[in-house]
Amino acid sequence: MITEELVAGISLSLIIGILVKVSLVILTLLALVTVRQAGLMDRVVSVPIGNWFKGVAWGFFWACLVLTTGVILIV
Amino acid sequence: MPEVYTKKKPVDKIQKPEKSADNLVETVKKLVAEGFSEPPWRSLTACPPKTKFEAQHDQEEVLLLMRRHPVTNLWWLALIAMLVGVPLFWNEFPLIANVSGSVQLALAVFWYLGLAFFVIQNLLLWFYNVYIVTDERVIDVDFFGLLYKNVNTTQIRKIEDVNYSQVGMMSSMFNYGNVIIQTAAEQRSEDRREESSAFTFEAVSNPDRVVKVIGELMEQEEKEEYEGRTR
Repeated sequence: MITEELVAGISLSLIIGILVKVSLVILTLLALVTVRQAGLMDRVVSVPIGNWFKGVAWGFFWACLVLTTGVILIV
Repeated sequence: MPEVYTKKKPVDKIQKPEKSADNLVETVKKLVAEGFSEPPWRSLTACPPKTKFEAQHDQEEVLLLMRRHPVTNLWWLALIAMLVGVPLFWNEFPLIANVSGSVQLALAVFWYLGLAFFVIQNLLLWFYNVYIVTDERVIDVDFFGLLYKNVNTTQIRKIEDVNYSQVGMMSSMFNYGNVIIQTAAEQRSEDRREESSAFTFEAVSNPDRVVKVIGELMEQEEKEEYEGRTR
């Protein structure tokens, strides 16, 4: 049986919450790398819808940033 | 009268390569007429408009732009379709069922962002892992993950042999296969896939037509070399 309070003052929610927050920060950094990667890929092969992919990468990065900030502040 | 005097003179062999240049134009034109030039996310695009690549020469023209057939993306799309519903069953996992609602929500946010990252990565890798045939060269652009890029280039005149293979039910159904190009000096590049050659166009649509275009380019190049017009 898993209990909510593992030891005094440290709960399961706290540990998983911290893990999720750290993972979200890492994912945001990876999203930033993806933005750079999309730009480099478009430089190697420039195609008409290359800007759309860059837009998607930027959109994902901003979504990650906003949601990560929200989770860190609220949870 | 003996046949030797009446029979027409056979066509001069030198004329044959001259015909191949016209054949090449005709083959590419035919592909364009069949709608192979658009949209840009096709597996095989002939004379793609507004398409450039790194280190392209001024007069160099892109004849074919290829990437893996869209059907090859089915495995990760099916995986995403299965994983997308997992947060609905958080309470079935004992570890997650015991945490507070807000942490479960944060976990769901992370889960969906992770899936979105996976989708974007696979989409980018599929779209930008391209194979280009120009009137001068053959270029194989390979990206692996976030930080690895491998670009192989060879001149048309250095190509020794070109062939293709279609293995499996899916490739027969959707008409895609691997085009393998053997060059004169078959060097092994730092390629992370188990490819037969440094220039392996994996799972491209209509491989027979790709082989035909490259074959005609080789003939044209031979003719130019014969006439001393090599670039």
